[in-house]
Order: sequence, then C-alpha cells, then structure tokens
Amino acid sequence: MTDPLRKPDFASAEGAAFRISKQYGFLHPAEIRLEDLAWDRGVTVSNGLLIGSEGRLIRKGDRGMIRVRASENQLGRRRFSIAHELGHWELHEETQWIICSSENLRDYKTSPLEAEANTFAAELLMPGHLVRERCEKSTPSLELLKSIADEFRVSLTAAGIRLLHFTRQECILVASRDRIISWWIPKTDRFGVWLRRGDSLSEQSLAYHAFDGSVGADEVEDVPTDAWFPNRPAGIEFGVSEQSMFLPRFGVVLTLLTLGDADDDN
Amino acid sequence: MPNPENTPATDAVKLLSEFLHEPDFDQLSADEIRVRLKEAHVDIEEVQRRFKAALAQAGGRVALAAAQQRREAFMAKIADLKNQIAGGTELREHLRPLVERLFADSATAAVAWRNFEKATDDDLRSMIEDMSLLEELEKDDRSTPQT
Repeated sequence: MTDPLRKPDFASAEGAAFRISKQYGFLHPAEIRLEDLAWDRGVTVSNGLLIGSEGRLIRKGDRGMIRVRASENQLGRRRFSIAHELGHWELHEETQWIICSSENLRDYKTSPLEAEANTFAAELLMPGHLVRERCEKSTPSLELLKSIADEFRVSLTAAGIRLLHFTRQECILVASRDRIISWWIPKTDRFGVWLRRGDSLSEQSLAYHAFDGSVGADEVEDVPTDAWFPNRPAGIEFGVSEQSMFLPRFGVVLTLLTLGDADDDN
Repeated sequence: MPNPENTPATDAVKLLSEFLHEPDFDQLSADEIRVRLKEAHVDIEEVQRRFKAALAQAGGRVALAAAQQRREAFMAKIADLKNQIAGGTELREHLRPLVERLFADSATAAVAWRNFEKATDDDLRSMIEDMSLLEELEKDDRSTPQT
C-alpha cells in the first residue's frame, strides 16, 4: 500500500520515462503516438468525454483503461493527461483505479502519487536533455513557454511548469479567470510570499488589463510589488517583472511573474 | 603500423579496409578487434551506440505499428458494445456486478462503489463502458494467440 505521506520518488519517475523512450527509440517526443504506446504497455485509451474529472485509470491485472477529459482538439492537454495516467500505470501498480482532477495534473508537491505521475509525463513528453539547457540559458518568458508547448505538443500549463522547474530565476506561474486568481505555482518559496486562489487581480497588474486586450502577450513590464503581493511580510522587498497573455479558448489569462532582488535588473 | 597521430584520413580508411579483408579476422578476439579499430581511428563505441539506437527505433516502430493495428481492430469490434451501454438506463444496477467482478478485493470494491454512488450519470456511463471494455480486452487476450 502506498504511504500517502511519503516523499515523491522523482528519480524513479524520471527513470521510468527515460527507459521507455530508450526502449522504443523515440528521437523526439513529439513523434510519440500515446494511444499506441499505451496499448503496447497494456493500457487502452478509451475515446469519449469524461465529465467529472480530468483523467481516469482503471486497472485489472495486466490490462488497464485510460480515459481523459480533453478532446482531440485540445491536443496538448490530452497528451499530457494520457501521459500522466500512463505514469500511474507504470509507477503505481498497487492502485486499481485512480481519478485525477485538473489540480492533480499540476501537483508536484502535495500528493506523491500525482507528483510522480506528473514527473513521468513531463520527462516522457519534454525530456530534460532537450529542455533543460534552453530554460537555464534563456530569460524566462511566455514566448519560451509557448515554444516549448508547440514543439513538444503539450499544454501551456505543462510547458510552464517544466520551465519553472529548469529556469534559474525565481518565477511564479499564475492562471486567472474573470480577473480572479484560479491557481498559481511558484518555482520555490525563496521570497516567502504567496498568492491566494480566489483573490481579485489588482488593477496595477498587466493580467487585469490582458482580459480586455489592452495588454499584449509580448509586453513585459516591471510592475509594483504591491500589484501582486500587497500582503507580503514586512521588510521583504523584491522586484516583480510581469508578462500576461489572454487565452480566449479557455477564458483564462496566463501570467509569468519573475521575482528578483530589489536591486536586480530583471 | 603507422603512427595513428600522424595518420591522414585516407590512411585510416586503408587501414580499416586492410583490417576488414584480413584472412585471420575470425581468429581475432573482441578486444583485439577493438584495438585494431582504434588504431584505424574508428570509434567503435559511437558506432555501437548508434547501432543500438537505430535498432531500438526500428523495434519501437514495429511494436507501435502492431499496437496501432490491434488497437484499431479492438475499437472497431467494441463499437456495438459501447452503443448498448450508451442506451442503458439502470446504470447503478449495471455497475454493481461489474465493480464486484473487477475489484476482487472487497475493500477496494466497497470504496469504489461509495465513490460511484456520488458520480453523475454521465460519469457512471463512461465508467461502465471502461469496465466492460476491460472485460472484453481480457476475453480478447485469451482468444488471441500470443506472437
């Protein structure tokens, strides 16, 4: 039985994805046909929409069934969801059925099972040896995030979390809907600050104005720290550089915040 | 044997050619072959690495092509079954025996059943569909000779 309090075994999850890539001789993950790969591993990806969750895996012996919510026209999201459930299949033999929410697909910290499945999916679809260097050497940006998503055929969220993982700068990825924060993911908690799900966006933020199209995705601006962190602990000062883009298909604004020491040039 | 440091590329090719046509080739051990290739400036490890990668790639393509064929055949076969499930009305009644058959462990079945009771009809329908497909897959596996 899996201990829900254990620490995630990231190395095993990455190793499992690496071994599969090597076994099948994938030159680039964009070429992976996940439905066929899953079938060859014993899992069928069932067609048809899922309503109450993002992905589901049912296991019976050496056969499994994956169903994901994302449809064919949400290719990146669908691919990451399938790879995530395949991660559960490869890594968590003891689980007979798993139902995953959209939060689970962003979780690299809270649940060891979900963190491992996400790490597996990220390594399978965006292998470290192809992504790490460009994230480490480039300034983190939404353009970089989008180029990773396009090249590796994954969702912007999955690409963004991979960017956070490898970039050397302190960044936070934020998604907002109707000018309200839906979720946020920090690279680390170096500055000891946080955002709150459900909080309204400040008018001082670019994200606020991205909803009405008055701010373009290519604009990067230093914004007042209070625009995002009005309730930070006293004495903590840092600079905030913001880039936001509206995703009309989802009605969401995706924001990349880069935090730097107050005297840094972000 | 010329000094490898001063051997031009054409000489390296000549050395390799001589090596390949040597009559006692079969007599050489693997280590001797490695030494001779190294003298001829042939990086055998790189060749091996590329060979293994090409072999894995070819094997992977064959495996996935076969997987695609079997998957599509199975999906076509079960289309009718999916339609039957979609038309069913007594979803929870349909689900209970499936849960009991699928989860041999009664504790897991009980947990699963509790969750299904809260699920929407659409999700129950897709759950029944997936469980039925799993059973069909098992039958399919039993009836398909292993290659």
